[in-house]
Amino acid sequence: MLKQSKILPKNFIQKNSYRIVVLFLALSFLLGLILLSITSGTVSIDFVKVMDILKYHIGFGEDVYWSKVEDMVVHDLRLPRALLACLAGAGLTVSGVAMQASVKNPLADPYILGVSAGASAGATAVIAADLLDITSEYSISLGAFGGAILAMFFLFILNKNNKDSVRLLLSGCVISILCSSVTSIIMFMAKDKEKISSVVFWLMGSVADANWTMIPIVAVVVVIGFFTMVIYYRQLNALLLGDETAHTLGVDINRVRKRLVVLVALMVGAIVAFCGMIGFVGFVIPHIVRSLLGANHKIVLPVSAYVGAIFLLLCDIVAKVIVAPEELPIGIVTALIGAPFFIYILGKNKNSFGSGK
Amino acid sequence: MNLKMDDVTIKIENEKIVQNINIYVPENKFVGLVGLNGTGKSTILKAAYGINEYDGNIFLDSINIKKISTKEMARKLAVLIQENSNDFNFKVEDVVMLGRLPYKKLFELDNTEDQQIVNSALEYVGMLDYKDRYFNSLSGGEKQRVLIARVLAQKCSLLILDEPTNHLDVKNQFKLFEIIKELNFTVLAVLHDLNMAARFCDYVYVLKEGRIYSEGVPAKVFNKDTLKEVFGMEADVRKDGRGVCIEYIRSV
Repeated sequence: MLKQSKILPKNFIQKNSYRIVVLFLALSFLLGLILLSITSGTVSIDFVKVMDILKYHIGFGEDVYWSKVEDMVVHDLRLPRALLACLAGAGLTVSGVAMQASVKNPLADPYILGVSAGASAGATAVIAADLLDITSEYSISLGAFGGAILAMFFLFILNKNNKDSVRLLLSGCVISILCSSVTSIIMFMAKDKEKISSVVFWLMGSVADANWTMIPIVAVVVVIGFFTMVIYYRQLNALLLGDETAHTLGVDINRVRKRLVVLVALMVGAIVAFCGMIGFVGFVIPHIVRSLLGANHKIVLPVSAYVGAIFLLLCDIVAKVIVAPEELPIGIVTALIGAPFFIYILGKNKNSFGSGK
Repeated sequence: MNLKMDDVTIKIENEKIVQNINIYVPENKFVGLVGLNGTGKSTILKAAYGINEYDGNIFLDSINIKKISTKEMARKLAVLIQENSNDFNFKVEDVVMLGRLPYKKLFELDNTEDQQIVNSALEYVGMLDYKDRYFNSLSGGEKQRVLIARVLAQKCSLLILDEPTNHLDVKNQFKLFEIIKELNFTVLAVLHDLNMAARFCDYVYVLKEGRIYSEGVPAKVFNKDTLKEVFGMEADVRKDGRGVCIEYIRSV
């Protein structure tokens, strides 16, 4: 796939040594943060024990000196939770990047398509209106994903012959509003106050219910979505220059935009189905990355995915620790940490945001 | 590379914007399209570069453009239009590298050949030192030069310009056309400034109310009657060593 002429391995390492070091440091930091996440929580398990438990599950070490509870906490609760935070953070941020490019508007976020509102309506229907048997483990996620698919279906119907990105935005808004009303109606008609508070809690977002069944699903969706977008980085760059310019550079803007919408809808649908509505991440992180590194998607996409993963992981750690033994919903933490940081970035960029360096 | 528009009519919502347009842009010639605002000049250009639907035929080197894919068109035809995207900031190098898009497949990385093409394009317009600067931080003239570098990287011989100098000062307006003429492109340009058109065009089409009013070399096309009839201006037209010079007196 690499069409480079005559790159000797030694030459490659020399030329790219700076990048390799940065990559190594970045991955180490991520791993360190994951470990920190696994060692933090209400059940205190020391670091050495955590490492041994993890090593054991990979296949090293045979001496099992920890209790079953500790094993379950580390391997079945905290590790998938940390991974889900990374995947959701990366997926939401990359979806934000794609949406902002797709409608050429820095105010876009991954929820503008209305898919997340559909997911919320679906989840609410399950929690508060007994749409599915709520005692079943995945009924809420199923309801959410069903709602997401329905919303995506409506989005495509409304945009069947549409070539305009503004109309796409507006139709997403309409679907969002419609689905929000459905959610509100269900909540209003629910007689059980506890159900309403469950819905509200779900809507605030959480990665706490992570398990090993959902991780592969989210991982597949996010990884496919991410790599597809990376492959389309030139087209995304061209889209930012304007539809007409992109067209004259050979980009089939309608086809690219449709594919982006499908990818984002699937990613956001899967993430919201399992994590609720985690706000802020998909909107702000792309801005921060762009303000530091420019808008070239070749760089923005991977860096955003990384920063998004780190950010959500950090927020989850804070969510677990800050009001221990209780937990804050992660949506609150993302806003509380993210907003001041965003204000700081805005202040640094005295000129209009993202331009005029 | 030449461009031929054969009996082109463009309708928007069943209203005829332009009709029976016959335009021929011979190889290496600079052809201008002039007329008042709203007469359909940009509409005609948009049909040529594939945005608008039209009745009639448009040929690029005798091939009907309806048979050419978007990507292939991008290898034959480059366009300089005014589309401002100030919300997003690219490095100069990245802007020029986009000119290579028509030549890259989805999984292909940018290779050393692309890099060389980008570098020599920037060098030609004198912007190589600005490679790592952000595009939005450049002056109008510098931005224009970077866009020309992008056109060069696109390696096309046919160029379509839609009022490319609107926002430029006089020096940069001249520089733009001088570079374009130097590069010997085949050009179809919509121009507002009639003196620029008179100075740089080999051939001019005058558009009035959606139809071709007259066509010919600048000396023939720019005369007192046309300026009055089409442009609503009373003017003196002088011919000197440098070509045709229009001196506006008053509006009619």
